[in-house]
Amino acid sequence: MSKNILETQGIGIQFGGLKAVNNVNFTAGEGEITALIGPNGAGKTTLFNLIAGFYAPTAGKVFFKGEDITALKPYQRTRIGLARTFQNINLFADMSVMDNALVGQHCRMTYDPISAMLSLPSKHKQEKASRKEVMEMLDFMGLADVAEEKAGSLSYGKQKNLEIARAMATKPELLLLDEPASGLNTQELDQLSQRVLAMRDRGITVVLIEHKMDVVMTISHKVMVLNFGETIAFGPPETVSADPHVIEAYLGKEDDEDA
Amino acid sequence: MKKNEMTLAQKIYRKSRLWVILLLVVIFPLIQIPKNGKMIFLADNYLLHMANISMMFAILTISLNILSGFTGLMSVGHIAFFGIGAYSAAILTTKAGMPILVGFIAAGVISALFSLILGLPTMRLRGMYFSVATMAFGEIIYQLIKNLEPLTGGTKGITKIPSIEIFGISFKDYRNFYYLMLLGLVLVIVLTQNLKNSRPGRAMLAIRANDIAAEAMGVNVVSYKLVAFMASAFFAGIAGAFYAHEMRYISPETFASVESASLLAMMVVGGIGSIPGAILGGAALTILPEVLRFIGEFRLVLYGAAVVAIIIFAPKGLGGLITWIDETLSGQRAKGSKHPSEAEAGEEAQE
Ligand SMILES: Nc1ncnc2c1ncn2[C@@H]1O[C@H](COP(=O)(O)OP(=O)(O)OP(=O)(O)O)[C@@H](O)[C@H]1O
Ligand SMILES: [Mg+2]
Repeated sequence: MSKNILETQGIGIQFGGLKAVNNVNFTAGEGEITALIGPNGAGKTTLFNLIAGFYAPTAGKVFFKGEDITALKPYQRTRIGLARTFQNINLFADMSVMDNALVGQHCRMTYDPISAMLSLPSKHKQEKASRKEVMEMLDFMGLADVAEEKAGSLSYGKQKNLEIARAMATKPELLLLDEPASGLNTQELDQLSQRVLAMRDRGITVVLIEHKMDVVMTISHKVMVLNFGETIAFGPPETVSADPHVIEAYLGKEDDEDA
Repeated sequence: MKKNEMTLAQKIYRKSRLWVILLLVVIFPLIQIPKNGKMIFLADNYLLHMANISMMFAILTISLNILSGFTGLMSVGHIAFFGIGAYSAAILTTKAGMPILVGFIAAGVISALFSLILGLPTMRLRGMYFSVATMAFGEIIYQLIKNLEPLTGGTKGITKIPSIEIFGISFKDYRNFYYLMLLGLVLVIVLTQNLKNSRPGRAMLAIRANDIAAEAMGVNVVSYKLVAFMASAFFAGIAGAFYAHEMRYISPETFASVESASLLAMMVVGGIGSIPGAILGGAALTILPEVLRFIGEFRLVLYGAAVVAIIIFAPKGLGGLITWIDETLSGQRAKGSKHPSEAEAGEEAQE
C-alpha cells in the first residue's frame, strides 16, 4: 500500500434538508487510480466539488499531501497540484484549443500584467516554455492538429479530451475526472483507458467517476461506491463487485438504467 | 496539413494592410488640395480637432473593453475615470504647477487608485450589482466635480490648462497634437494587444467565458477582475489627460454620468472585446452626431436609430464586420470552420 495523497475525514454537505454527501472517508493512494461509482444523484460530483473546494463542507475535512486544505479556495488547490474536469463540459468556447490549455498553465507561469503589456523577456521565456508544455498535452490527448480551432467548434469527443488536456496542463499531482467516458464511442473509450493508464505511469494520481463497470474494473486499484451520499463499499474492484450491498444498490439497477 | 493556397493578391494584402492604414493616418493631416488657386490643407482645424477627439474616445473605448470585453464585467460609470484623469492633469498642471508629464502619469495612477477603492468591495458581487455600483460611482464623481469648487472650479470648470510642449515643440496646434494623440493611441493599442495575448489576458478572457472553469484552472478570479478594472481605469485616466490638454478648458458637463452610456454604445457598436472595433466604434459615434448636426435636434433620434441598426444587423459590431472583410481579403475565411480534409478518420465521435 502506498501512502494516501488525498484523504477526506467524515466529509459531508447538506443542501437544505438533503444530505448530498454524508460522513465520507475517501482516500486516494499516491500514483494509483481510484474509481468513484454510484447511481445518478448519489453525490459523486458533490464529493468532487468538496475535494476541489467549490463547495464548503458542512462537516469534516480534506487533506492533500498530508495537509489540511479545507479552508483553501479552488484556485489555491489547483496551484498545489489538485486539478479537476467537469461532468458538463466547461470549456472556454470562444477561445482556441491552444488558449484553453494555456489557461491551464496559468498557475505555472509567474509574469505579471505589466511585463505582459510591455512584452518583457520574462514573458517570452515563460510563454515559449508553456506553449511547448501545452502542445505536449494536446498531442497526448490527440488534439495537436486542432490547436488553432475554437474549442466550441470541436466534436463532443474532442471537447471531452480538451477538458482533460486543460486540467493536465495545470501539472497536477492529483487529477479528478468527472465522467470522462460519458458519450464516447467504443474506440474513444479504449483510447481513454489507455490515456488514464499513461497518466498514472507519469506519476499522476487519478480519481475517476465512471458509470461503465468494465472500464472501472480493469483500470482501478480501488473503488468507492456511493449511494444517497453515503459510502456503501470501498476496496479493490473484485471485493466491491462481489459485495451484496453494491449489487443491490447499483449493479442490479444498471440494466434498468440503460433501458 | 495543406491550407488552401494563398493568391499573390492575398499575400500582398496580408503583408501590407497595417502599414497602409498607418501610412494613411500619418499623411492625412498633410494632404493639400487646390482651392481658389491656392493649396490648402484638406484637414482644417475643425476636422483635426474631430480626429483628435475621436482618437481620445477610441482610447476610452479600448479601456472600457479591457474591463467589459475581457472579463465580462459591465461598467456603467466609466466616464468617471475619464473625468478623474482630466481633472487630475488639469489641477496638477494649473494649480500645483507640475510638469505636464507628471500630470499625465498622475491622471492614470489616480484613476487606477479610484478603481481599486471601488473594486475591492464590489468585485465579489454578481455582475449586475457591480454595474449598479459603477453607475452610482459615476454619479458621485460627477457631483464631486461640480461641487468641490476650490479644487475643480465647480460649474465654471478649469481654464488655461497649458498646452503640451516637448523638447521645444509645441503641441498647441491641432495638427501637431494629432501626431501626439496618434502616438498615444498606437501605444495603448500595442499594450492592450500584448495584454490580450498573455497569461493575465487569457485569465481575463477565461473569466468572461466561464468563471468557474477559470477558477478551476488556478485563476484567482477576484484579483484578475481587479487587475482588469485598474488597467481599464488607468487608460481612461490617460485619455482624460489628453482631453484636458487638447481642449485646455474642462467643465463638469463632459463627465456627466449619462455620458457613460455613450461609451457603452461605442463599445457595443464596435463589438465587445474587439480592439479594432473599439477604435471604429469610438470614432464613428464621435463623428456621427457632428455629421448629423445640420438636421438639428432630430439628430439624436437618428443617432439612436443608427446604433440600434448596427446592433441588429451586425451583432458582432463594426469590429466583426472588419474581421469578416479582413478574412475575406486575406483568404482566411474558412478558418474556424472545420476543414473536412483535416479531420482524422475515425477520430471524430459518432453520436
Ligand atoms: N448546489 C446544489 N444545491 C442543491 N442540491 C444539490 C447541489 N448540488 C448537488 N445537489 C444535489 O445533491 C445530490 C447529489 O448530486 P450529484 O451531482 O453529486 O450526483 P452524482 O452522483 O454526481 O450524479 P450523476 O451520476 O447524475 O452525475 C443530488 O440530489 C443533487 O440534486
Ligand atoms: Mg455527477
